[in-house]
Amino acid sequence: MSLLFSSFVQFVMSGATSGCVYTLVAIGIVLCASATNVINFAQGEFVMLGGLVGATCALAGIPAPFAVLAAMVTCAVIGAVQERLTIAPIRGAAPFMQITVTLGVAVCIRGAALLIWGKDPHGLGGFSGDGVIEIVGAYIPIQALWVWGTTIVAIAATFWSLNATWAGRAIRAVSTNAVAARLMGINTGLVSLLVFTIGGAMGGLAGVVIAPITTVAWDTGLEYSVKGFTAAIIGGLKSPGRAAAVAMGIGLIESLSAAYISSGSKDIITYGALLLYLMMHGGVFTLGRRPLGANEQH
Amino acid sequence: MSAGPHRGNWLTFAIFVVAVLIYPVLFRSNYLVGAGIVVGVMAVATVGFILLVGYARQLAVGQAAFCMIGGYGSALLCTRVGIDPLSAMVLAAVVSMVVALIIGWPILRLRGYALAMASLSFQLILGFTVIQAQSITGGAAGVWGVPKFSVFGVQLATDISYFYFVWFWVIVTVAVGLIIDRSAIGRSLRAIASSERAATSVGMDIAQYKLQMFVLSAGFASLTGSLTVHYLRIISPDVFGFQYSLGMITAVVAGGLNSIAGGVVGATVVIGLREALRVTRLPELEGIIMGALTVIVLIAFPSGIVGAYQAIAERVRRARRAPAVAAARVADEVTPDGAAGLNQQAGLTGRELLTVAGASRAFGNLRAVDDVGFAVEEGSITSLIGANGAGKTTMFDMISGFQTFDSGSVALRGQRLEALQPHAIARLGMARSFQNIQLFDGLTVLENVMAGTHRYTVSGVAATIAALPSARRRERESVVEAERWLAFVGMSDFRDHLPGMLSFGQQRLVEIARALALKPTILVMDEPASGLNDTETERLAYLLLNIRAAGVTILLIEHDLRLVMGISDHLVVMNHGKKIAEGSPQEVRSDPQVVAAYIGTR
Repeated sequence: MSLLFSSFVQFVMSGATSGCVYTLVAIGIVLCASATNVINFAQGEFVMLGGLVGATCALAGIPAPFAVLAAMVTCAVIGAVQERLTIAPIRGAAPFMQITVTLGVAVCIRGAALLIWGKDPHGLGGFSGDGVIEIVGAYIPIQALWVWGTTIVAIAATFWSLNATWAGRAIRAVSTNAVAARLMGINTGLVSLLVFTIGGAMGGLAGVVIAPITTVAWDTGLEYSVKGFTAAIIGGLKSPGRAAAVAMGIGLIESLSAAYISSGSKDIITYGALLLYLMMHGGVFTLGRRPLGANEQH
Repeated sequence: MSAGPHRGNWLTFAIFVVAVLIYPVLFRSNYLVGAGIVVGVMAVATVGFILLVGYARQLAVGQAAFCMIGGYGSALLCTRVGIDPLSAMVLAAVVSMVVALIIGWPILRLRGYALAMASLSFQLILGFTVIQAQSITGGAAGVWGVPKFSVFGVQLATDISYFYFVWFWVIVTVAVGLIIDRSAIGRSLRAIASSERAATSVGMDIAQYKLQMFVLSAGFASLTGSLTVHYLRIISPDVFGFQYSLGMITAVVAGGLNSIAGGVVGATVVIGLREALRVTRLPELEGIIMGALTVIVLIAFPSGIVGAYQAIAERVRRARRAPAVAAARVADEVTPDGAAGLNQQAGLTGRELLTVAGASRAFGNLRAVDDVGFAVEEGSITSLIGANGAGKTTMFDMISGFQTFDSGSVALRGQRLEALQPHAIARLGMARSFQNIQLFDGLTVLENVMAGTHRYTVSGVAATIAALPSARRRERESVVEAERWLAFVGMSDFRDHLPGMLSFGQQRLVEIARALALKPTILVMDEPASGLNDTETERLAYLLLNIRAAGVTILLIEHDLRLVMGISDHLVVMNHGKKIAEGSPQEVRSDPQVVAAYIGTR
């Protein structure tokens, strides 16, 4: 194998690893957005929180499976609390209000993390040690396999429950038509609580599996939020599958542009792509009249 | 629009100016003067931000990007190019506003979260670019050795002199904000926030207003950046990072989004809290408290501290003069006064005013409007009728610019309309009223009708801020016109009411007055009789005849035959998206197709 090819594989693998985290964040965002029309700006904070909870558990000598569980449960509970305290009271309010409230929650979670864990980055050991394996000349941390495996299981579980369980069908019904779903007897408030809880758990899971590779600190959540949104928005906000595909793409593009262009260019490229997509989506290139719906306020 | 609230607010403004003047004298501690500088610097940006978020309702999450442009602009121009701070500040603000114009034009077309994300990614891109462009910006380390501010060669060496200089800019910003708030622009922004559809129907260019506020707000944010660097003497990428944007959001939410004062109050609260936490050695609590403050205020007091204060003051005022607000006299006999001022050329002229030809619009497989053509004769009342689902409202939306054409055309006096936006169509002289009444909730009845005069009374932002005599004259003209049209529909007694206090029928009359205030050549009404009882419908019919007598052509989109048959000169009948008949009421009434499709099924 040529060195060039090996390093290319290396970059693809590491891109896929961060892509997995973005995927989990993006799925959480899509679930919440499609069922409640709220874009949760605090979604990435769950990744940060999950990582920190996992690190604390590891420090206390708690075995990895329980650390994962603890991270997921903590974030699920916080997601649920967020929904009850800040989303439920203003259901149907102007999008501006809902966005700002989730931003406030994000600031709150960051502040709490800073208070509890301090400014320093935390890490934890890989679930199966900190070794690496060689794949066609590229060295991959074994933890990356955990990240990929977890993501695949989480995606499979999401699709299975959306299609095969009562709760999943309720979520899909509400996403398709909330009014009709309510008329059919679906408790939309409960569905909202459910998606925020699941979103929290997904974020926590992503955080605890990626922390051994990247380390985690109070301020690392924003980046995951923004990457997650980018994927969710470009994926169309309704389809977890498409969001996941875009999220993997973002991970790969980032890793490759960092490798072959410059390390600073990766964020500029990602955010530039988002900005460009949004502009095109907003109809910059359509001329003349655009329909304005009666309910399209802000 | 009475003189009361104005005088009150300018009095508050005077008190504010005096407070600024005596603050350093009262508190002679360096620490408090320094804190005052930091508050003032932020207040310039937050007051501007209120114009954007509170007035234009555009949540640009990454607004600190423009502080960054201002900050780096001033720092680099002063240290590398060597020009004086004042010129550098002005130059940086101009650059910021130009950038805002370029970036705002595309991103302000986005709504809600999409706009928030676009604005945030702009800020992040700018931040990363500054770090990357190390040779120019000093990268992550930033730019050092920025001089203290000097004005025309005189250095503002002491903190007290800089305090006054900073607060001079706060006062300028607040004054600009208050002028906009009081002006036709402020009224238009409130109207847009209340109903975009109605705002555009009176000729307001929503995109332009949003862009203007974005550019203005960027200019103020840039000033904040410049004022900051001359105080800190250094700028690095994290000074105006996302954290600063979040601080601005907390400030405007806590202060109150609906008033200019909220920007100053909010900046004071945010900086005050931060300083208090630092003094009490609990700075790590800042995040939690700021976040919680944002959430709690938004949920519990959406209009912030200033809004809560105004609500309390209003309650006290009302308690003092409770009996004065007696039950409003009900104008039970609506007899429109003369139609002075409208084109006095009543009667049919035989000329085609509005021409629709081959108009089609499909939604998927549903052909809502299918190759419809008809003409509206000048001076006539023409009615487009059809059962529910016949495609009438789609046709209305196509004519008035709310819906696109698949094919076909519509022309007003030969001027093609099908590619024009609703506000442009309004400016050509087409007024509209809506099936579900669209009044501006936060505006009084008089202000609602004044909004109707927009197309010939509004002044530009620059003329408004400069308070040019022409702007004042137009505002007076607007009041006169609005009062005249309120009298015309018999609603003068309700001029200071809010629309929510009126009955449905009265709201309909106000909406018609607003439409007439455009001085239209044609009035297009979507089901004006819907929701009205028999008596009200009869009154409406008289009013429509009066409007026609005053020389305004009317196109009615209606399914209420009681209203239509008696007053129409010409009828066009639609069924399942197609035109099935047209002619005089008598002709249409006896048309077998019409009877079968419409009247027969009733």
